[in-house]
Amino acid sequence: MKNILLLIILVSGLDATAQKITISGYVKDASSKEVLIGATVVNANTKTGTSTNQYGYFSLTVNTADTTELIVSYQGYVLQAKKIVAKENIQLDVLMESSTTSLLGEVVVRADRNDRNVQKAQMGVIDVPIKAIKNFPVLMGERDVMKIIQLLPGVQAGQEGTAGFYVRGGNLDQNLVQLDEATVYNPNHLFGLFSTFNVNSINHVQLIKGGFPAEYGGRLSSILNITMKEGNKNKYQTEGGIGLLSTNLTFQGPIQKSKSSFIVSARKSYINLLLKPATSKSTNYSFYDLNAKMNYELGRKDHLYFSFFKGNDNAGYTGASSLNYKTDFGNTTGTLRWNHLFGSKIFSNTSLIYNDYHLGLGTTQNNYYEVLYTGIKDLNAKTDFTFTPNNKHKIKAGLSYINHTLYPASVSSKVPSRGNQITVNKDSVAKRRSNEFAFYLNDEYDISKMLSLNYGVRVPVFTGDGTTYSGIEPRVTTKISLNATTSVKASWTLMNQFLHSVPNSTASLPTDIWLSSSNIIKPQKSSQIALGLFKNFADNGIEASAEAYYKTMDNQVLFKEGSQIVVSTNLDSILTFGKGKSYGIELFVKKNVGTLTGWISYTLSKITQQFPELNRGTEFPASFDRRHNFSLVGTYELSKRWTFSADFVFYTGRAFTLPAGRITVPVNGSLYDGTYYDFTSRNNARLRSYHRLDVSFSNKRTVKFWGKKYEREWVFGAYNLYSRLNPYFVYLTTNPDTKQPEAKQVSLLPFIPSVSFNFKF
Amino acid sequence: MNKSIYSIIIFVTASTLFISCEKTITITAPPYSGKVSIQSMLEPDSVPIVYFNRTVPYFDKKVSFADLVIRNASVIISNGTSIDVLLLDSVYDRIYCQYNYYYKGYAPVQLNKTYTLTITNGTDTYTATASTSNLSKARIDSTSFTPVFKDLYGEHEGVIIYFKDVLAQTDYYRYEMVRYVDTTTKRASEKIVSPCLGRDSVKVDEIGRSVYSDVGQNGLQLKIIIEPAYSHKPGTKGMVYIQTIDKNAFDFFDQLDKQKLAQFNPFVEPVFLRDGQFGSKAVGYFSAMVKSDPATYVYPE
Repeated sequence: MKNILLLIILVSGLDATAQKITISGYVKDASSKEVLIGATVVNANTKTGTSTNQYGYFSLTVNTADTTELIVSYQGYVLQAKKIVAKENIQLDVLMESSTTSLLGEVVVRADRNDRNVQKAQMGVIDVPIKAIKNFPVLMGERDVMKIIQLLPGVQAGQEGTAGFYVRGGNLDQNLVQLDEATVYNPNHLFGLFSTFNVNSINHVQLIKGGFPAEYGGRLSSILNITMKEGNKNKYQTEGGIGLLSTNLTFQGPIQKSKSSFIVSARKSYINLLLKPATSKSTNYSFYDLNAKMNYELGRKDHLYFSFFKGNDNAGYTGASSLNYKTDFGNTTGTLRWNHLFGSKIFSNTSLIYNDYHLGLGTTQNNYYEVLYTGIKDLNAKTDFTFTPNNKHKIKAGLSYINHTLYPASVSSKVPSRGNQITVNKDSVAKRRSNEFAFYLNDEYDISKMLSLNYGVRVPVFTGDGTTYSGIEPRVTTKISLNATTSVKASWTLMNQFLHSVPNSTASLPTDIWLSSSNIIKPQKSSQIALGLFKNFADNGIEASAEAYYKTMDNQVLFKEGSQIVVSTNLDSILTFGKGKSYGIELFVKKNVGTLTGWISYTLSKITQQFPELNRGTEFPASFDRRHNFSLVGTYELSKRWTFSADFVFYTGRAFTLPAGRITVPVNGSLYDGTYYDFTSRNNARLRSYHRLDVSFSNKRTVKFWGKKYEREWVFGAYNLYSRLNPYFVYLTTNPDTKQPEAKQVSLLPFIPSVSFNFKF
Repeated sequence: MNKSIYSIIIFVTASTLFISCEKTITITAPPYSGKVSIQSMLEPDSVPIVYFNRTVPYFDKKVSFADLVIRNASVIISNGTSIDVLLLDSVYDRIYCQYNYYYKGYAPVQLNKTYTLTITNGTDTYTATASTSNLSKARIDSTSFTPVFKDLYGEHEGVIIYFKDVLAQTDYYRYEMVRYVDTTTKRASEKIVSPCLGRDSVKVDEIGRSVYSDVGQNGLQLKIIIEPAYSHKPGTKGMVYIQTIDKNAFDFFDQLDKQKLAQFNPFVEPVFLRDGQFGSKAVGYFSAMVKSDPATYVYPE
């Protein structure tokens, strides 16, 4: 490794002496000194450029003979143009002013227009700017990252009232959600209405759903990267909000001005207190989450970060026999990171990460109950290098090691007429330990102005249960520019996944169990190809894209038919394995400028599975197969102070299994007597379509309080404005009077109004 | 006043989160072309009986045996040397107060014979074979009772049977109790409501829910515990048998058992009834069994 680094430094030196220099540094918010991730840095002379990485760092090679004009842009900020004359490598920090708070008190140039979506050799990547999230319709006073993600093309929301999202036909467990590189399992609060991510503590959100760069692995379908803010390095700042159901507070500021800072962000619900007078003791909901981060610049070359997150939900509901449950789940994560610069061309990051997830669930339905405990502890060490030898190549390489400890346990039985239900003692659940190693190498290669290639390979190795699995995962994305505003892209990726969450197809609550690969459970594998056309209009004010994808998935896991889990059940023995296939077209149009902004997204897709032991071995729709998925999101600035936001969602119903026929078995006098189902195929019926309209009005002002200025915002909103009773699940029963079979639909969330107050000073 | 309105808004908002609405809906039923259901268990020294019914779409209104039976079919059982033509017959079921229809033969079934069932209904023909060879009578050693035992269906009382398995072949077993019930008796958790039974009692053949095989216990004494279908008082009497059934019956009833569990327990994946002896055209079984000698059983509580 040392020799490789030495070679790279020598090469860099050679490059500098060949009449080229490197301009490197950070792009930051002028006011808070927060780094800006994904900012575009372009050499206006040569029209070559780069973008800042996860730490706001960039490196660009220019000719020494020229006066370099550097154009730096980022959505929501005033464009920066800098003229640079230098004979040797220089480091500079570019400070960007927010377009809403320019020194002149008015917008000079709005930098909402960039052409990254057309120019980058990257597809299936969506950057969600935090400023867009802050204008999004709120739900009970909470602006939420996951709600926005679910409105993007290729992404489907999970079942209402449950966690998660589906990306390009992959199951819920095929999405890697990371907060400052720490994996967050089940990142939701309150039936999936909120995520565990407090928007006030977030700097950047990026979703990757295809064309995965080699630095990412471990999940088949998506990577959701969430980066926390570092904290204002110039002044102390407080912001918070009080909603109908929860309150949040964020406090940030310098530890040492311009050198180190911290941010602490907390959220707590008080639903219990409000409902106490009117509900039974067994109906309750409470959650909290805490984000904390500290960072320290040890010098120009070194930067240390420490991030911490803890969130927990505790809920119980006793209602109709179709839905009773009690749950406690939460995540704790910690990340220690060290950035180091080797000269101006090599950026390295080394991380130590810990995460601890648990889910305890007890649910009763139809006089049967299931008790489930699933726990995951990960210890992760990784190091990544980015080498930018010149403007044509950006080479990344890295190593990663994760130690997983899983604690899966589940029991199901009839509710006893006397005595207690079986419980799971989490301290006595058998541990499953495994290890994952990975090495990767990737190059972003700008071959010419027209042609770019992003290619690499990732090599994962898994050991566990006396078994070793390994793979070679090639990753290729190519971009061909047809003109300045149009490009065509194509990608091919292979992925492996060694952790699996096995879903139950009929239970109405998430009774998924996490298991690691073993000598019985092989790693899931996917191969995805995608093709896309990207075109911008109105000087990049409008972005449009059409992407088509085809994905195959092997070693998918489901439960066998008729398997009831008892205490002694070996979970691996009741699993069955098969494959999946998903393909679709995603259309996306996004308007970034003007008083009306937003997007329209439509996905047409099909997802099928085939398991030799299920459905008589024939192909069937996946339970989360939804043919049409449409969303319309808009924000309209009514005036300087008033903003109106709305989103409309429509998707066709998910699949479930309905018996087609009825068979009578006349055995006389037996518990066998009665009706049996003739199932002709799995997932042969559909729930009714889902659609919903959410709206919100917000009023922002800067006011004085006790002689001090602070920003305040009132937000009035409505979730499910016309109170559509969207289906949550359907179950079958027999009418006691007519003795005829009938179907009952359960819906969860009707119209919900909200008012919230937010402040910042 | 403003405070009250605010409180109401908060309360209503919070409450809506915990309200789940439920309603009966009409579902577009999946297409279903229908099949037939054939169920027959041959017992030596008894005449053959075949239940031949239609299956119906799940939401179909037909529920009675009279609606479901397929009449005018040709049902023949042969053993290579003789042919028995079964004719439609019925018996009045005094629990369900309706006639139960079946095709009934004349010639008693014999041991150590192989029988072929052929049913012709319009243009469709269904055929299967069953043998009364290689079915060994079990011997009941003793019986007992337990007020509490746990199985996949939960916790309940149980009738315990100890019996000896025959060595050197794979055997499949099922429990049977013959007893009398009346309208004071409960079946599962519900009292028998029968307008036609009056104060009389009626004989029932209570078949145990589960089926058993001797795999791993060949030649040993087996113990099975069965949840009674009917309630009982101290002193209630019945005659218990152990049926030795063949693999076709075992497979069919094992699937029914698993499917019943999946119907009750929403955390169990639904069970498809697999194609059996009749292929995809019919569900059911054509099997044979022998019964052990009976043992008198008296409920102690």
